[in-house]
Amino acid sequence: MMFSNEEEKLARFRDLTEIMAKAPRQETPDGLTGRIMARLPERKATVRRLFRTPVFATDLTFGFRRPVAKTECAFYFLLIGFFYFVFGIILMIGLKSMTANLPVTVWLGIQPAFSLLTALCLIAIGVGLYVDGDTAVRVARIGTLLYAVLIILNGWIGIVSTHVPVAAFFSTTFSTAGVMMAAFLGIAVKHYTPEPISSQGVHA
Amino acid sequence: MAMDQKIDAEIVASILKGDVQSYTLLIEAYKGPLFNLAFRMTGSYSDADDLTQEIFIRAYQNLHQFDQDKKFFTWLYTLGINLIRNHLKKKAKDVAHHTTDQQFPEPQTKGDASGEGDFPSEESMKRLDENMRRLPVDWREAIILKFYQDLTFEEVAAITGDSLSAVKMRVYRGLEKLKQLMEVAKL
Repeated sequence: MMFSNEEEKLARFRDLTEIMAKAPRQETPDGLTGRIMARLPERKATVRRLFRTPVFATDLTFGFRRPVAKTECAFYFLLIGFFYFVFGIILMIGLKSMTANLPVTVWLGIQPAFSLLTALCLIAIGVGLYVDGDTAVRVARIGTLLYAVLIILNGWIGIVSTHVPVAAFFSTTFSTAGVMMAAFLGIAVKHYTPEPISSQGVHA
Repeated sequence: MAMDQKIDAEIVASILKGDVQSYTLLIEAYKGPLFNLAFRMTGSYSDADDLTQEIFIRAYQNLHQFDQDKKFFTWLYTLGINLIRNHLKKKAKDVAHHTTDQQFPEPQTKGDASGEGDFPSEESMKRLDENMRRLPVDWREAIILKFYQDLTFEEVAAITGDSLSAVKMRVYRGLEKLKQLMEVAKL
């Protein structure tokens, strides 16, 4: 049987569907909520549940399970920014002492500056999120994407330009770690919520 | 029918943090529709009562599995539908035999919520309920969710985990069969 559209199909059964739509709703038994609450089992502390317990909004197995507040989102950017800052300082000092008498490729030479610049940008975004989350979240979104692209590009150039297996290995490792951090920040920004997160708001 | 998705997610997060009392908010919000779903599916008031309790307890036990990016009511309904299906399978007999404790709802007010038209007669509702229970379970649940629970085809598909076309097919085949059964009953 062919019908031109949904309404036509449903119109054939209007007499039945009207009875269904108008049928009075059955009242729930008295005290149903109380009986359910009384039967709720105690939540046992298992190792699995321990990892899922949202101390932060983070779930170690499935990413963020609930909205990320602006302070938390800012914290993640500041944390990763701080990581790059320390990493940049170590590279700067390390490279100077290690390669004092060796020729350094252009790529290797700019790595400390690259790390410090990344740190600066991430910290700036973190501060921006903390001060004015709603405005900064758009910048954070673009910044995270740019960060991911630059990390991949930097890693690829490192592999191509160094021709040293150890350097290529480290370049790949740091790029992979960088991409994972970018993904983490991306998820945090995606779950960003400008509103305060608390159960009080729900009860109000 | 559903509470705001974000509010639901916040309540769930609050419960997972240990605020068990927040669960009453979810029970209060969804016990009515779920009880009616169970009642329509089983035709038994006491079975619907037990099933509604079971659904909420099972939901509580598995709350950590709920993906907070999705709708809580869809997740709860999916869980509910599965429990109801299992219950009907376990009983393995026609629920039409359960008329002993069956209570057909009495109209509380005259006219529907919109104020248009009259309530269908008790006789026609009773006949429809009886014929409804003669439909295969998957057809029946699709019709109940669509017309008694007033959900969209998309929501029904999300709950049952079937494709949209499969849900529509079940609904229309079910309605067709119901129409035939109702006409036979009139004779």
